[in-house]
Amino acid sequence: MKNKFLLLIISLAAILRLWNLGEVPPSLTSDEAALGYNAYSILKTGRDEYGQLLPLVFKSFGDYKPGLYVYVDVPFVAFFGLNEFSTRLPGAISGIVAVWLLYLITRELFKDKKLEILAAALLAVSPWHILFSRGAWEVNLSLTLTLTGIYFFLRALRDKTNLMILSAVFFALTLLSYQGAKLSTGIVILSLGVAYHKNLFKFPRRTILTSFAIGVIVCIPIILSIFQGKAGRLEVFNVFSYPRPQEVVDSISEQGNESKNSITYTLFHSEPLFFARSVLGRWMNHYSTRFLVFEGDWGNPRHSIPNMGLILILDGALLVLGLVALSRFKEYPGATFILLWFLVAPLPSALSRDAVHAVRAFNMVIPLIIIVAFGAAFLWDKVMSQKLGRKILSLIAIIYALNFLYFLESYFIHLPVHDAKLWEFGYKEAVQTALPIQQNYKNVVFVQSYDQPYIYYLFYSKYDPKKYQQSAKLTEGLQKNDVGFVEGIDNMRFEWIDWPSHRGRRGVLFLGTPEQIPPNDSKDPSQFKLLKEIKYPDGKVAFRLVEVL
Amino acid sequence: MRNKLILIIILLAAAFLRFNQLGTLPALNADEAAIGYNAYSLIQTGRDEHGNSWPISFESFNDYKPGLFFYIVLPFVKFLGLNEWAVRIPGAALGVLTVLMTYLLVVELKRSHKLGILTAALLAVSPWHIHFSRGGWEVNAATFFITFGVFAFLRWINVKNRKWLIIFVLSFVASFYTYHSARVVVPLLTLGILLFYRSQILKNLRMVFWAALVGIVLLIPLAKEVFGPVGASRAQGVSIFADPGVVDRINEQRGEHGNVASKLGLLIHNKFTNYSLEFMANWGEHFWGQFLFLSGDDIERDKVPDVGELYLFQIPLLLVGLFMIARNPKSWSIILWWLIIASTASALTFQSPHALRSHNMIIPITIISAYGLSGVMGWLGKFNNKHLIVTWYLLLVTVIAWDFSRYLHEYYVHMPKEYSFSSQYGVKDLVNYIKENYDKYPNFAITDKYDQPYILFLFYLQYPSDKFQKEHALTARDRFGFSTVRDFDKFHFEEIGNWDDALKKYKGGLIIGTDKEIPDTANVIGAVNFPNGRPAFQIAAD
Repeated sequence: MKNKFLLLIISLAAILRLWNLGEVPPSLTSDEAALGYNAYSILKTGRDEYGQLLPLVFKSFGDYKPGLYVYVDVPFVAFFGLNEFSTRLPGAISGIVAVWLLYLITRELFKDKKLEILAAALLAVSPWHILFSRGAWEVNLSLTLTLTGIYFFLRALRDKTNLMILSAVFFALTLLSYQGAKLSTGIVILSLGVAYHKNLFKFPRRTILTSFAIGVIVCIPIILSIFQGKAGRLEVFNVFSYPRPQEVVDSISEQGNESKNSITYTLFHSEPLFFARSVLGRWMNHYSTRFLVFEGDWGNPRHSIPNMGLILILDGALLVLGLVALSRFKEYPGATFILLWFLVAPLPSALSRDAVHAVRAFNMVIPLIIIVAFGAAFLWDKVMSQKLGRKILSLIAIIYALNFLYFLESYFIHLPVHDAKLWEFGYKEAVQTALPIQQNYKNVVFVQSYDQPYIYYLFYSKYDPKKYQQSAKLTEGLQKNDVGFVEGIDNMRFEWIDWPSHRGRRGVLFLGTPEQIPPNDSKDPSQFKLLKEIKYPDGKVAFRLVEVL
Repeated sequence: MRNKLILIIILLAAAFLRFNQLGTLPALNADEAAIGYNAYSLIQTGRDEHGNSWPISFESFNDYKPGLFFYIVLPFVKFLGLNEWAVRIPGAALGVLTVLMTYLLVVELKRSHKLGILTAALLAVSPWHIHFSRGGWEVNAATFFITFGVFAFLRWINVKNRKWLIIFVLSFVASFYTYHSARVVVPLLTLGILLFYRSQILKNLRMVFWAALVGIVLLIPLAKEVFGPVGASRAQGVSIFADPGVVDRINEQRGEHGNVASKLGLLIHNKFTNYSLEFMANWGEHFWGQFLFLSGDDIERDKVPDVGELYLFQIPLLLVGLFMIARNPKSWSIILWWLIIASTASALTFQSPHALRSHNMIIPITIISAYGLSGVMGWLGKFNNKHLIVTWYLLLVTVIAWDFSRYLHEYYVHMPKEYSFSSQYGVKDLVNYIKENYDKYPNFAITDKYDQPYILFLFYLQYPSDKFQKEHALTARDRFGFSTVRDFDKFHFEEIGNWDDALKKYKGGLIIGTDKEIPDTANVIGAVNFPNGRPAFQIAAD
C-alpha cells in the first residue's frame, strides 16, 4: 500500500519534470549550453573546450564551473545526441531522485508514515523544486547529492556503520558539482552536527575521522582551484565588495558633525554595522511573502515563475501551521536539524550582492517542504477529529489542487512567452539560420553579449570539439574576475555591434537585436538586405539578420 | 505598589519621549496645519476652512479627513492659540495614554502585571509608536480608541459590568470617526471578538444587544456620509482598485494564452483573481523584515533614517513570543487575530507596506514581543549560576540600550537633516519673512513643490477664516485625488515654471521657489534654508 503511494508520487514527480523538457523552459541558457557542449567535447575527445584533459573544474566562460554535471551528462549526450533534452536530463533525473530521497530522509528523521508520504508528495509538486529540476541547474544536482549524504549520515548514526564514509563522499561530491556548495553543504553538515551531537559523541571516532579525511580528499581539486584564483567570481558576488558610496558616508558624518572616529559614528554608523544590516536584510528577504509566495526572485526573474512566488499560497499557510506543529515537538534532533537548516539555509544568498536569490538559497526548499508537510499532517489530524473530517479534507485537497493548477498554468503557458527573453530565446533559430549560409560571406558578425553567443554556435552547429580546442581563446572580461568573451570562430565574429560605424562593412552578414541593428537605419534596399527576423513567442523581434550589400 | 511605581516611571518616560521638543521636531506638515486651521476656523466662525458647518469629515484638500481628531484638537487651539503645540499635545497625550491602556489590556488578558509592565515599557520606547505620537496624526488617536475598546471589552468579560461594554462600544465607534483604516480593521476585530468570546456573549445576550444598538445608532451619521457622494472619494484615490497595473497585467496574461478570448484565460485571469492576489501580497508586505526592522516605510515623512518600525532586538523577542504562543495558544486568539487583520486596510491601498495605515499593528506586536521578553527572563531565572544570569542580563540590557540610543540619535540628529524635504521645514521662516515685507509688494508667488503651502500660510499667518472662506476656491482633483488652493489674499501658489513668463506674470511681486526653479540670473533677495543647510526657498524680486 505505502509503496504504491510512493510509486504514484515518484511517477507524478517524473511527469512534472520530464514532460516537454526540451521545450519548456523555452530555450537553453548559455550556462546550460556550455554544460551540454562540454559534455559533448568530453565524449568526443576526453577534453573540455579549451583542450584540458578531463578537468574537474571547467573554465567555460571564465566562471570555472565545477564539472560533475558535465560528466553525469556525458552518457545522456552519447545516447540522445547533443540537444536540449539530453542537456537537461541529468537535472530532471536528480529532481526525481530527490523526491524518493526525501521520503527516505523524512522516515529516518521522524519515523512518521503520514509525514514521509506528505513530504515526498509536496516536494514532487513544489514549484521551486520543479523550476530548478527542469533545466541543467548544477544546484539541483548538488542538492540531490546533499540529500544522499544526509540519508547515509542518518543511516550510519542509526546502525553505527561505515555508511558514514559514503555520506562524506556524497557531501564532498556536491562541491564538485556547484560553486555555492562550499557554503551550503557546510551549513547542512554543521546543522546535522549540532542536532545530532549527542549521537556523534557515541559514534566510533575512527569512522568519523576516516570519513572526514576521505571527504577532504574527494574535494581536493576544488580546494586547489580556490588557490589558483579560479574562485575569483566570489569577489563579484560578495556583498562585502559593495560598501556604501562615499557621498552617503560623508553626508552621514556631516549631518551629525560626527568624525569617523567619534563614538557615535562607531556605534551607530560604522561600516561593519552597515554590512551587518545589509546581510540581515537579505536574510529576512528570503522569508518574505514577496519572495516565497507572491513574486519570487525579484532581482533575477529567470529564477522564478511569472506572477507567482516559489511556493504555492497554500504552502505558505501550511508553512505557518508546520512551524506551530514543530514548536510543540520536544527534544527531537530531527526537528532541531530541520529548523536549524531552515534558518541558516539563506546564508549563502544573504552574503551575496543580490537582495534575494532563488538559486543560492535553493537548499532551503528541503527544510521548507518538510515543515509544510508537518503543517499538512497537523491540519490532517485536526480536521479528521471533526465530525465532517473526511469531507472537509477532500475540500482542502481540491483547493490545493486548484492552487497547483495555477502554478502549472503559469509555468507551462505563461513562462515560455512571458520570460522568453530572459531564457535567451532566439539564439537557436539565429544559429540555425546562419549556419547554411555562413560560407557565402566573408564575415558573419554575431552580436556579442553576456549571453555568450559563441556557445550557442558551438552547441547548435555541433562544432567538432577537436577543431575548436585548437583555436579556443577567451578574452579578459570587462571587469576584473568577471566572465570573458570569445571573439570569433572561423568567419563568425562575435562583436559588440555599433551600427553607425559598422553599417558600411560590405559583404558582411550581421546578426543582432533590433536595438543594435535599428530597422529604420537598415531599410535602404540598395544598401541592406533583410534576410530574416527571428521573433519571440509574443511576436516581438529577437534578432535580425541583415546583409550589407 | 512596586508595580504602580514602575508603571508611573514608564509613563513619565513615555511622556518625555513624546513631548520633548514637540513644537519644532519635526516641522509641522500640511495635514497637521489643516487640523489646526480647521479647528481655528470652527472656533472663529462655526465653519471649517471651506465654509462647511461643523462637519463629520473635513473637506480639507478634498480628501475628506475623518473629523473626530479635529474636535479633540479644538479646545487646545481655543486655549493655547493656533500654534504647533496646540495641534500636537492631544496626539502626544493620547500616545502616553495608549501606553497605559496597553498595560491595562494585558493585565485583563493575561492577569500578569509583569507582562503588562514589559508591554508598556516596550510601547513607551517603540519607534513606530513614538513617531506617530509626535504630531497631529489621526491614526494615533484611532489606535488609542481601538486599544481602549479592546481593554474595555476584556474588562467587561472579567467583571460583567455593563459600563465597560458601553465604553467598549463608544471607543470602537470613536475610532470609526477618527481614521479611515479603522473602518476596515475594527469591524474585523469585532468579528473576532464575537467569535472568540461567543459563549460569554451568548450568556449576556440582552446586554450585548442594547450595546450593539447604541453602536449602530451612533454610526448612522457616518454611514450616511460614507455611502453618500463624499465617502467614495478618498477610497478611490488610494485603493488598489485605482491601480491600473492590475488590469494591464490581466490583459498581458490573457494575451499570453495566444488567444485573448480563450476560456481558460478568462477563467483564471480576471479582476477577482488579480485583485485578490494584489490584496494578499500587500498584506504580506507588512510582515517583511526590511520594513519592520531595518528601514521602515518608504515615505520619508513616516520614517527615521536607517531605523525600522521596530527595534532589531525585537526580532528574537518576537520569535520567542510566537514560539511560546504556538506551544500554548490559550487566550491569545484575540491578539493573534488582531495581528493578522491589523494591516488589512493598508493592504487595500496600493502603497504597501504602509506604516501609517497599519499603525494599530504595533499593539499586538508589542504585546507579543513583551511576552517573548518575559519568556527569556523566565529562562534566565532558571539558571543556577548567578554570574551567568548577571552576564546574560548585562548583555540583554546593553543590546537594548544600544538599539534605543541609536534610534534617538537617528531621530534627533539625522532625521530633520536627511528628510527635511518631507516635512515642511522652512515654511514658518518664510511666512515670517513675508509678514515683515507684506506691505512692500503687491503680490507673492510661492511654489507648491513642497506639498500644500497654502494651509501652512493660513496657519502661520493666523489668517482670518471668515475672510478666507469667502475668497478662495479649491482646484479640481489631481491624479492622486487631492485638491489645493491656488489663491488667497496677495498669495498665489503654483509651480514657478518658465522664469521669463513668471517675471511677466508676477510683475512687481516676490517670486518664491526652490533653488532649481529660481535661475542664477534672478534678483535673489533672500533665502530660507533646510536644517541641513541646503536651500529650501529662494526669494526673488524682479
